[in-house]
Formats: sequence, C-alpha cells, structure tokens
Amino acid sequence: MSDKSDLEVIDRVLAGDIEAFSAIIEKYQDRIFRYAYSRVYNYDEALDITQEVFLMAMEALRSFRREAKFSTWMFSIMVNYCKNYRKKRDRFPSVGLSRSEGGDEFEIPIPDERQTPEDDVVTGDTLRIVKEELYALPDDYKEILVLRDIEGLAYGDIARILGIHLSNVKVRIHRGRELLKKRLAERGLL
Amino acid sequence: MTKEHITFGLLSDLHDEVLNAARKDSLMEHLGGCPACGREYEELGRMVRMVSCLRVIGIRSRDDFCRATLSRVILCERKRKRHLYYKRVIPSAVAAMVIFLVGIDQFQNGPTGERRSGARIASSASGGELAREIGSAYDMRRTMSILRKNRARVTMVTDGYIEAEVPSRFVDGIQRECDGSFSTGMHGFATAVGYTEGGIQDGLILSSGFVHQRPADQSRNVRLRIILR
Repeated sequence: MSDKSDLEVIDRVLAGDIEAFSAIIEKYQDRIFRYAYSRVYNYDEALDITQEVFLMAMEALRSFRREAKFSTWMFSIMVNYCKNYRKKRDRFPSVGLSRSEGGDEFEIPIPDERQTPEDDVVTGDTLRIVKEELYALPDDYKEILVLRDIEGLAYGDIARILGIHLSNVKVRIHRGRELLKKRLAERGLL
Repeated sequence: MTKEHITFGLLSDLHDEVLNAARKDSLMEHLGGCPACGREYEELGRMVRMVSCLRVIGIRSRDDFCRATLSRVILCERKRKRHLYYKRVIPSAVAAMVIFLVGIDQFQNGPTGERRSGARIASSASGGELAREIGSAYDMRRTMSILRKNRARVTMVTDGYIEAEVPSRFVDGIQRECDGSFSTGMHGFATAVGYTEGGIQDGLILSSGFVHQRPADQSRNVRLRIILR
C-alpha cells in the first residue's frame, strides 16, 4: 500500500468509516511492533505499545497535515510513545511475572535456513545472535539501525522521525554499524 | 585511485548509496584494488543483510492483533465522540440554567433589584382573623425565627398561614421585629391578633398597635395567625 493509498484510507476513516483503519493496522503493525520490541525486548509489552500507538494515531488522525508521508508521521508517534514509555517505566519500575533480565521467551519465528538473494545462508541461530547484539547496542544506535537496516527508511525520513539533523543520522548509522560489526566479529559471524 | 584506506563511514555511505556519482566511482575504483577495504565492504554488506533478515520478527498471527486493536479503536472513538458531545452540550445547558435562574430572579425582584412587596393586608375571609401575609419561603422562615425568639409556640404551619400562641407581653416585640424586617416586606402593615379565650376574635387592628392590650391581658396568651400568600 503506497502513501497515496494510505491517504485514501485516512480520508475514509475521517469520513466515519472506522473499519477502514484496519488497513492501516495491518500494514504497520509488524513495523511498529519490531521497533517497540527492540526498545523493550519483551513480547507482551511490545504488543501493548503497538496497540497504544495505533490508538494514539487514530486520536491524532485529524491533526495529520499531510506535509510529510503518513508512514513518517506514524513512526514519529511510535518513537515518541516509546520514549515516553521508557521514561515512565524507568520511573515506576514493575516486576513482571514472566520477564527475565536477559530478555523474554519470545522466539523469532525464523525458518531454520533462510536463503538471501546474495546466497548467504542465514540460520536461525545466526539471527538470534544478530538480534541479541543489535538489541544490546546503545539506544541511539539501536533505534537508528532498526529504522534504517530493518525497516529500510531513507536518511531524510529517519531525520524527521527522530527530530535530528541529517548529518547526525549519518554519524549514528556509521558508529552503530561499526560497533555492531565489531561485536558480531567477536561472536564469529563475520 | 586514492592510496589511503576508506573510512568505515564512507563505506557505510557507499553501501547506502548516498554519495554522488564521482565520489562513488572513486571509491569503487579503490575497492577494486584494495583487498582490505574490499573485505571490509563485503563484511559490512553481509552484516546489513543479516540485520535486515530480522524483518521476520512480527506479531504472532494467533493473537489476532488487528481485530483486537480495531475493537479498541472503535471503542475509543465512540468515547471521544461522546466526550465531544458533552463538551458541547454541558456549557449550553449551564448557560441556559443561568439564564433561567436570572430570569426568575428578575421576575421576583424586578429589573431594578428591588424586591416586590410580598405582604399585603389580608382581607380576612372569615372576618376578623388575625392576619399577615408573607411573600416567600424566606419570609416564612424569618417569621418562624421571630416567633420562636419571642417565646411563641407555633401551633400550626400550613401553606397558607402560621398559627402561634405567644404571651401577650411579647406581641409588641414581635411587631417591632416584623416592622424592622424590611426584607420580609411586613413593614407598615397591620397585623391582627386575637385572644385564646373563645378562639380567634373577629376584627382587624391597625398598625398603630399590633395588639390592643389591656392590663389584664398581660399574662394571657395571645393566639395569632399570620397568613402567607
């Protein structure tokens, strides 16, 4: 679904067809979930955050001025919500019933062998290590690598979403990749 | 071809294709002749591909996330609409209520704020009953208070009148207080009183004396009736 069709859906929702919002949910649910999961590293919390982001987006839909792409606007809500969520959680820490320090029990639904177009064989174990190392990066690097390398967003969109300068985006991507590469090399993946 | 190795930042930019064509050609030329940089670039590409494979992370389909979220969205939207409705209606309702109350007040007190006369001399239908009219519930409370203060024993309160028994020596005091109580609207009006013996006496006594007392009446109880409008 392109940005144009996003706008068509929004028009329908604003005209009163709330059910049409399901198209937006289906399109963005996994992308928002992945970002949220990278921030909280807990499946249930990430699911709650994802749902809240959609509720906030629906509430703020009338204020969407269509100056930026809808996806950028949506991701901005997501980033801000996650930031506030982290702040709130750090201020009022709670003890989860099934949460352990090292992460949660959520297993990545990865096929045992995954063939990439470049003929790299990426196994489930490899991806688990990549996930661990990526999520262990400092927040600034982690979030930018998630947006760039997983979600494939352009530098300009990332700058708008995070509210930082383009040069800053580049620097963070370089440093994040450099650090991740070093850690993956230590784990024997490169 | 540049002799120095390419920095990681430039390799990253090259991978993301954010360099201009001339710069890109120059770097590609270097990579072709420099195995160290070539290996670094290849490793970077592999790493980015591995990271991008994390795109498989997603919401489990069995959670039926979309339907659950849409239900919540619909609920929230209904709540928001209700909230907006009340936000519009409540101020209007309050304004209407204020206008209504001000209207009532204006109707009772007149546009200048002066209270309309609430008391008038009653023309006693039964002929000779002690009478006084009071215009409002406030006057009624005020009258009750005056009566109690002057040792009157209220014997009956109806919508139409208050009856009380009071030692005759307090009657003048009652009248003074009633006369001084402008808010009750009693000033200047005659009040008729009768004697307990033989029931309420006929006749109306004018305002010069609340009760026409005789020395012998001093210790007697007087029964009075104040007629409310």
